[in-house]
Amino acid sequence: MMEANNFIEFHNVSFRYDSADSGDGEDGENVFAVSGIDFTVKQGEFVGILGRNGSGKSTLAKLMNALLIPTSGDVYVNGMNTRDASWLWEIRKSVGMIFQNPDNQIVASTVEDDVAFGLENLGVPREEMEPRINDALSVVGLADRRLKEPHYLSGGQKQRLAIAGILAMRPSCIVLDESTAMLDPKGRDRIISIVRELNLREKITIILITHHMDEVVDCDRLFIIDKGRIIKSGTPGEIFSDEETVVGAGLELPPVCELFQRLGLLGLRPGETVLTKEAGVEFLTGVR
Amino acid sequence: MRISLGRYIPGKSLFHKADPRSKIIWTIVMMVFILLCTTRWQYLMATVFVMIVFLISGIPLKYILKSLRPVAVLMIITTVFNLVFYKGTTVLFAIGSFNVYREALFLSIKMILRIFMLIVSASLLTYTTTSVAITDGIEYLLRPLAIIKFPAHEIAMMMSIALRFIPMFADETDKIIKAQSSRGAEFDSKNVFKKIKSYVPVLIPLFVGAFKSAEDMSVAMESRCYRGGKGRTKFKVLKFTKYDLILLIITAVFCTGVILMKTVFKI
Repeated sequence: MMEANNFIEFHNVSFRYDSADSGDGEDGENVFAVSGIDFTVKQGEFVGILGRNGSGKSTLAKLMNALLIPTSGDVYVNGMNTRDASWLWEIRKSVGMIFQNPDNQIVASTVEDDVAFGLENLGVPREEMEPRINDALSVVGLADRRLKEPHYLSGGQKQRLAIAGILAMRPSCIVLDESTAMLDPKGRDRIISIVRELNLREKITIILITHHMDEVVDCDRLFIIDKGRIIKSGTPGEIFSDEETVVGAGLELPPVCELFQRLGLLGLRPGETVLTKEAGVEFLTGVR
Repeated sequence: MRISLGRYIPGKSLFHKADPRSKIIWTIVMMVFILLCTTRWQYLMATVFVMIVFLISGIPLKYILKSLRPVAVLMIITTVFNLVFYKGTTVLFAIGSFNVYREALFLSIKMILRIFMLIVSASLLTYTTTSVAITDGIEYLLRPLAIIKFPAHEIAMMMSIALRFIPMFADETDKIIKAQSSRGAEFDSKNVFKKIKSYVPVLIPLFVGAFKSAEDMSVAMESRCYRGGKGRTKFKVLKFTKYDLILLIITAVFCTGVILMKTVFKI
């Protein structure tokens, strides 16, 4: 049923919101938010999911920790079917979610209390909380803000606090559902570098859902989702060399790719798709 | 945004150090006592007791005055009405055709003291205790009611989240007011009805936003494994210390003292 090192498996998953609580801006009653989704994420992978607004990205995210149960098909998290209610808390403990709005996911009125919230829910003994909170806050660089009220944090700091709250629960996987969409470029970079670090050092599986292309250029694998279906998957190089599909899904190429695409029209063709500034500079100095 | 009520002022006083539970009990006892006061001796003693706690707490006087500001108008109006309309027996002096009676003067002083003491004792609690500690204390004190299926944990959780959201909604209101004024809405009309009406386009987006936030928040809480009070541990544990014992003993002594004065010495 499941390969050993697959962490998340989607088997032909479809999901339709009840007309009563319509989802991400879908209008008709019988529209599936996502349909026929089949994919796997391996333990320790860094996966990016791209899609425009209303493409079904957030629905996909919520299916990953049993906030939503598929209308048809099955989702397995570390071998546990999300349909099986007895695994519910185990699944939510191992898949942490960071949402879009920094203000709406902070529960407590001080930084340390908010990190403690998840631990309190898990019933972690008090003596164990202190070191876990310390560790989590120092990973995200908020150790000196422990006693601050969240109201006085910037948007980026709030998102880092949200990450700390999840980290303290020791998850195997973190899903970032457009968590950088409301941040300024600096805050965004910081979040991305923190999750990269977590992926490399702690081997935490990262699923980064976004529509900012430059955030995903160094993912292991990318999926493009549009109208509730996965329309393309592959490495960033493969995805961004296919401009037609990217643009067709309502997305833009990362600025560097865009630049080299245009340079290509002038006859300057690098051998492979240029994804980062550094690679671009290297190529151009080679040309000269 | 300035909200003086419910604002915590950090400090290291004995009253700060006391457990929120004993401070809540102290506040409730004082409020009940103040409302039951009848004789001037009782008023005097209540005032002295509250003032002593105020001095111990080290809260600057200006904060106390600030929290009195909203009720100042009420205090002035009741005083004026009492002085003008209350009919006693001994005339102190007359303004025009109105006689001001001695009894009226005492009544006014009592009223002012009563409102003053109520506000001061309540704000001493909120100034010296963080909102988290207050909700924790309330949760603990309501816990016995779980026998009759009273949702103590849920109510405390709702209160603490509500407190968390207050500054956020204040900011949000500010933003909406600016957005609406930039589109030509008028908020500084002198006409009261116009003024009330002009706030409708502020309240509607605020409410819609609040519901959206609440929904987001509930999803975020669920995804962090929140499942009510069962099986939950606490990061911050309330500790009953010697300061609490002292505070509660003094309060008890005070109450019995006043009752004794009333029954034995008839004052």
